[in-house]
Amino acid sequence: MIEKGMNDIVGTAGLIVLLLVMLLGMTRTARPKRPGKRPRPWARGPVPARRPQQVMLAEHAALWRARAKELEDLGDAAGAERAMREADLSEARASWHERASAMSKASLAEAADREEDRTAAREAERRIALALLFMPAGQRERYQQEWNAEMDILSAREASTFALQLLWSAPRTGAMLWLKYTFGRRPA
Amino acid sequence: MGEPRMTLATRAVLSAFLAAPADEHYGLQIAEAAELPGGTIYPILIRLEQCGWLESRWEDIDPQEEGRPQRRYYRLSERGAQAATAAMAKVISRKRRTLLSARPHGGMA
Repeated sequence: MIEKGMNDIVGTAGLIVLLLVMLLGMTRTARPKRPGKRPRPWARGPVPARRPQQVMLAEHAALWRARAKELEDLGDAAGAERAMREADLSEARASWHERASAMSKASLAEAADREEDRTAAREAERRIALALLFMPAGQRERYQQEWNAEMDILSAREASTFALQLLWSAPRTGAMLWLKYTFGRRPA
Repeated sequence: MGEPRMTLATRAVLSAFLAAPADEHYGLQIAEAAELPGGTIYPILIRLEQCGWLESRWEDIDPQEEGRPQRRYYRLSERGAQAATAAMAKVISRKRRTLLSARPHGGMA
């Protein structure tokens, strides 16, 4: 009797503790974060994105030109000339950066195209290899040669699509060839 | 070997062959003429070859000289040309019969 009563008390207490823990958890997750306080003060804040070099250099050139005009107005001809030289230099650098960036963009695009072609070619090879698994062993070489010859005139992407279509129809083709091989008419 | 099933794709392939019965074609040429995706015609070609309607052979070239691998060429066999013409005619007449039977015959109100 006493033991049963103790069990009831312990069970009720456990239930209350569980409810409290759950409530505490809910209030914790619902608590809004204090604004302005960083949770990890040691962590580095967001780094502002740097503007492209050519934009900055063009701005420098404009500033140097404005400075040259100021110096010219003040009567400092030598200073104005120096400022103009700096402006010309900045402009030249900006145009060089622009050209370099355009070239690197073009070369990057070209490299991406080449990589895509390589991926497509590998994909086509894999698909053909998989499709050939469905063919009877004795005829794999013939179909491999035939399909490779067809793909020879296609671009890498077209070849990949062609190989995918082959792969889709390969089970049916293979089944036909296997059936013919197994039950077909043989010379007497 | 029996007759192949005359599906739409099979009919398209046979029409491509029957347009120039004496000519030889390779896979992609046939696919282009039949207006079918390149990789989907091989089951049809194999089936037709198994039925004896098509004959195939390797192209007689030197791959080194031509700079490309040998192609497999397909052409209608003699039996295939006759059978394909007959099968196509049968399909067309069946289609015509179906169309005619679907016409309203009129009746009593």
